[in-house]
Amino acid sequence: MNCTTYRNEILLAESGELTPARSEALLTHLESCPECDAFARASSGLSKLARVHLPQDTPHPSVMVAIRAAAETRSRGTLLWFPTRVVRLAACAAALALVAGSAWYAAVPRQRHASRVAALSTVVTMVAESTMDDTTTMTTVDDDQDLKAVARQLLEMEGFHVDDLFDDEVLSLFEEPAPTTTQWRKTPATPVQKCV
Amino acid sequence: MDQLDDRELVARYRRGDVAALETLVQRYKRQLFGYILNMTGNAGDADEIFQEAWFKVIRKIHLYRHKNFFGWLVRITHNVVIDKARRKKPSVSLDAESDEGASLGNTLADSGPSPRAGVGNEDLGQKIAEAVATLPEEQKEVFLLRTQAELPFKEIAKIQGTSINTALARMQYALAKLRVPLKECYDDLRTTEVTP
Repeated sequence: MNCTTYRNEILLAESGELTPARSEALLTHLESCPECDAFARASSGLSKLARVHLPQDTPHPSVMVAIRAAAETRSRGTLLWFPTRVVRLAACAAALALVAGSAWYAAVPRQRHASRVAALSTVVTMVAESTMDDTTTMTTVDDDQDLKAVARQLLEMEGFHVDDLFDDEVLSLFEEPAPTTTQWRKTPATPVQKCV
Repeated sequence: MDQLDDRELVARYRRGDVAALETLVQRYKRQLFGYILNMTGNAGDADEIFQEAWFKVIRKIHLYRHKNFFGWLVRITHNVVIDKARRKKPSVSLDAESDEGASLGNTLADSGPSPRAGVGNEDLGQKIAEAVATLPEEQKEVFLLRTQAELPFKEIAKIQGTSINTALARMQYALAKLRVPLKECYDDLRTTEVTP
């Protein structure tokens, strides 16, 4: 080993990073090498000098206040961070629920549609019967528009929400009536006379 | 709180205990500020860097996984010091001499007290600080990390991103340069048995 390596070991010994075995070898070298011994004294002396006499002021009080404020702000953020994760989980759960709900709803309208068609069929039958039999209150029903007006009256009397029911499906019922209504539309027995 | 080790204090701060972080700031205030102050040679810059370093620690505390908190803190501070030096780096070298043989550094030099005068009032402290200020940046940093931050060479090498042998060599060069102007000082120190 040369003196440069021993001087590295002098520095490592000062910082407590030299193994005991190497420390012994270093001491032996220092006894026989005045240059390295002088280096060891200089290193030790300069380090002490710097520790004792170099400026060691403290930060300005405003710096400490700013650090504390930042720490408090971040701390509040940290505390909020956990609920944010909970919120994210809740949002995921809500999204899943929405997808499941949509799938369920996609099935339900068919049932609702079926029941609505049945209800409307009944109403249309009622309209047909009204136009056939109740000549005292009905005018001649010779076009779709009048028939719809009559149907609207009857539906409202039955408690249906007319605007919801009068969509394309409803209109299609009138255009292509169910078998029960086909007969009276195509071959009315007696034209209803307008009551004057 | 003062008896708790760094890891426990970090864990407590992560749970929202601001006092734990304050304990860490107080624990390493002297060492860290001593390193920064002597690296920059300016109390204002040192305050700014000290504050910025702790702000970064606060922002990144959730990423802290190291065993050595102070080493991590100094590494962050080292990066802030470098960033600050880059921002302040003049486009013209202060050492470059003009045609008349005068350097910009000498031309701009204030004849009054240096910024350090307000920090370290003792003549000896000023003399050491001036000698340390003449060292190249890497050597100065190794010297200050060893004497002010009291870090082992293994940690210093990590902070500088170099090998431990390079860090030791830089320290050797620094000591060799400081020995000449400060020889009398550390000889006096040894005879008067001043201890840190």
